Amino acid sequence: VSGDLLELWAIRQTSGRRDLRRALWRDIASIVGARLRRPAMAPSPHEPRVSASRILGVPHMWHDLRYACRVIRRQPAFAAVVLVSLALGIGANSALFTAVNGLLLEKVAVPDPDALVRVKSAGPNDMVRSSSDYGFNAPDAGRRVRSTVSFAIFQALRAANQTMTDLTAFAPRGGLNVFADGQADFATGLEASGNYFHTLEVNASHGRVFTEDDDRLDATPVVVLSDPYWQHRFHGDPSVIHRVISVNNQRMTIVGITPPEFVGVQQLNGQPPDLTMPLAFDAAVTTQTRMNEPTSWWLLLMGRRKPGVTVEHVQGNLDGPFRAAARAGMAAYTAGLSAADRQLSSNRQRGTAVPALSVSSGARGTYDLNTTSAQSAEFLSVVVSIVLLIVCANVANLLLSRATARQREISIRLSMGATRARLVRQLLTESLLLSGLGGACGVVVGYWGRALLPFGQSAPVNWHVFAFVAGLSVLTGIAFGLLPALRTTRVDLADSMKEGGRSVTGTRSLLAKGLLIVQVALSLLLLVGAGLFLRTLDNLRHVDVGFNPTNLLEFGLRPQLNGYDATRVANLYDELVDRLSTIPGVRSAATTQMTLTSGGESSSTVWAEGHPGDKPAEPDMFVMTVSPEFFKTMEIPILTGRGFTNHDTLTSPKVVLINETAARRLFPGDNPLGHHVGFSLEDNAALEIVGILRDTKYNSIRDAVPPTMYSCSRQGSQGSMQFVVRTAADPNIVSDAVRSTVRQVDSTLPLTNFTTQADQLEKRFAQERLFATAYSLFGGLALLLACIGLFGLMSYNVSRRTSEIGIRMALGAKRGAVVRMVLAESFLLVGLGSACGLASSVAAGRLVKAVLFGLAPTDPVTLMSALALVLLVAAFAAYLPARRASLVDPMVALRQQ
Amino acid sequence: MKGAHLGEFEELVLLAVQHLGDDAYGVSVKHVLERETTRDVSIGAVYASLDRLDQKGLVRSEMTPGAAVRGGRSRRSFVVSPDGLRALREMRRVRDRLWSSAPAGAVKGRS
Repeated sequence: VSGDLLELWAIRQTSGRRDLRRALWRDIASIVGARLRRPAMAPSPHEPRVSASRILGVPHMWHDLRYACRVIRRQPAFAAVVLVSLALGIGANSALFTAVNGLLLEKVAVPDPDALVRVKSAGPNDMVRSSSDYGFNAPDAGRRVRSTVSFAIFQALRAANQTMTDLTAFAPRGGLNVFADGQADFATGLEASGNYFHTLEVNASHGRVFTEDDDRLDATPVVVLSDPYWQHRFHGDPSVIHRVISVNNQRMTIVGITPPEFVGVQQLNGQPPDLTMPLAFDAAVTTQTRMNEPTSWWLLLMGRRKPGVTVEHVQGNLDGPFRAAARAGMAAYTAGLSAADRQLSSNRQRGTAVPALSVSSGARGTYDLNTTSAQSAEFLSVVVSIVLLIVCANVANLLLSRATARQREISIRLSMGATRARLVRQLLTESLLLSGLGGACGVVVGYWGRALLPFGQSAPVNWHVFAFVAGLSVLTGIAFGLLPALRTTRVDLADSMKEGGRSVTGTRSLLAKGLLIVQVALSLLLLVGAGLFLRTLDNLRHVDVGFNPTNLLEFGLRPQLNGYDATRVANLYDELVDRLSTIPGVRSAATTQMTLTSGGESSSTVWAEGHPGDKPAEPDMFVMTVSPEFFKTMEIPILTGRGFTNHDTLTSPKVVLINETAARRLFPGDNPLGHHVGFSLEDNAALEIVGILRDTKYNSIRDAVPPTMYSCSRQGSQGSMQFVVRTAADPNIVSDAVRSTVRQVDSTLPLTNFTTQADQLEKRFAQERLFATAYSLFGGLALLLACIGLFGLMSYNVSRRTSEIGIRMALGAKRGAVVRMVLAESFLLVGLGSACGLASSVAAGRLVKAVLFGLAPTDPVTLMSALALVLLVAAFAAYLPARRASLVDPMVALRQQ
Repeated sequence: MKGAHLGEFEELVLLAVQHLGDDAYGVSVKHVLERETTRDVSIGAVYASLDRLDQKGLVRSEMTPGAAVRGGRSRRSFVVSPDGLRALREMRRVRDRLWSSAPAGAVKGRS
């Protein structure tokens, strides 16, 4: 065929025709058209084959489809309304599915991810003194799970391994100061054993990955960049390979770039670490290496099973060596202690619990889906399924009302000999065509919509999603198409052929009324949800955090990563606080180890002098290290005693402030001023309490204020600190001045976490805001659809009963009575729907209880407001048809009869 | 071929294939038909008819090497099968009989 087309082109060209392209398209169209027409042709007696497709009615299907296209084209407004509702309904579902698919169904982007195993430990653990974990571990049969091990355990497991091709260890390294091309910035990093890429079977997209040879202290320090970092920091320049950059003042050579799809194996959907470097350089880029710390557990493990080996085999192979190595670590630590240290209560009271090894599939990454994301996914799937149900009910209602208009067409076709099954199939084809088109729009809506979900931004749209949408579209099409199709084709022929025949109207209204009740109930359910979440958000925003969160600017610095020693760090902070305070528009500035409500927590056991027994006075004291100006800057009132001053130095007696809650718990009924506390039994008089502060929220806005203790940053070594800057007006006005002040002092120091306190608080409410938005948006949409449905149904009923109303009025019924009659009918439906809606809201309430704040799920104000809104909007929708009924002229109505 | 039925267009296409001898394929059949009937014939219709004739066993087709003008692409050439010849002759016989028995006036009136 293509040869023929080329030939025709050539012939037309030589004969000098101008419209070559148009002629070509006409040829193609005629070929395609002829091909498509063929299956619908009358079967030729010379084609005796009876194909499977013939039995299934495939030729008819094509015919049905073309007919359906014509029907839909004939009523563009109807089609548009249906398509928009379907696109929203299916789109919302596909957006959520895309996001959830990324969370739950995808696997990490390495070859043969199913062979990966994650090696963790579960149960009580006394073999560890300090440990890090970098994500969420779902508990294993109630036991706490830890993902990390010490370097010594990693080496022991690797030596004992017989069941895996290899085992790799890695740990994220949060902050790296990168200096390259004359510019300082802040990057995330990953340290990994030399076999990391080899075990995961990942190769570089440019250059090479590092190997065991690079993971030696005497090797040249090398680093591998992630694709996104390479793109935005080096503009995808391939010549960066072999370039030397400075990472925390350590010169490192870039040797390769990881492929764009590789985001590491910690969790799905994560951001890849900007830089990946061999574990051997841990000491070079950190101030305190944990490589030789046998009781410091900080490395994540991932192995690759040998073919034919199961997870249980790996578990059996490594459990013994793991326990032995864990015990050996603690033994090595204890052996290294001095006699005096060994007598310390913290060492004497050490337990002996050794956790069990817990090996499981690593196909979905080291970490589990955190509860917030799982909860969000759950709550949102409820709302999107309800929206789809409402859309189905609404479209079904629209189809029903249209079916009445098509009654005569259907009757004629039935009387001409069409079977009912044939007609149902025809009508279903129309529904499926609509839902298919709606599904196609839904994919687009879903593609854009997934970005609104907190965990959906980077979720891939792949064949899983398309299969889901296709399946959903078919189900939706059947759901909203089948009942109307069956109803429409059940016709009394003789009756319906007559003009004005209304044999199906009774059943149609019953079905339509049922659908309307469902719609009202579901919209009320969503609106109650919206009300609960909106009020939760409002309550959270109005929580008294104990300090003034407006007009506060915050950022962090990590000068020690650039080789600053303790004295230089202290001087730098002093200088910066002074300089920042003099910026016009800045009232004061201070430093703190951690900003309040930022999500970080630091807590410790506190002993008090004279506290009875050898029990700690407070097992869980939240601690903060702040500079003297902190309380003034945050506007936290000092209730009694004094704040920190410049006289509190490294050499002066150590002092602390505590908040009201801590005062109540440590010294009930006593004045805490002058009392002494400490972080261990032996040290219980190390710190003097000199002041009591008003309670402030520490991390969680929802939780009660925890007991908090503040120590002075000048009395200890200062690491990375956060700056808080109190401004006179909008903090964003001075942000440029703040940045340039830091640059003037040291241009190689990148600023981290630059934000305002108000933004930080707002970020904490992201989940609540998402729920409130989703439920309000869809609740409003659902109510709108339900009311359009109510309006349509009542208008139809009024027009059907015109003559009846005319007679009533002729017999003396007042206009008011007619309005009341129609309104009463509407409100019966709305009332039934609302009752169902309220009942289901109360029943569903306990599911959302954990997410609410400051109100009960059965909060009467919320329930009543939602109900009032539904009734108000429904009243408006019902009033219009009622008014029309009251304007019926009895004479006209009777003449119509 | 028992009960072979030829539509008008199919008959014309079959005749064109017969007329073209060894050189019958999509484009040449289209040209012959356009020349002889002086009306526009779409290439799609020609293909459709040729396919139908092929299925009815009235023509046989084979792929032959292409010329330079077709970008070297091979072409599907058609020849009339013995069944096709029989069908053509049968058609002609029917027509001749009808023509010879038609009254002269009626023929004039319709032309």
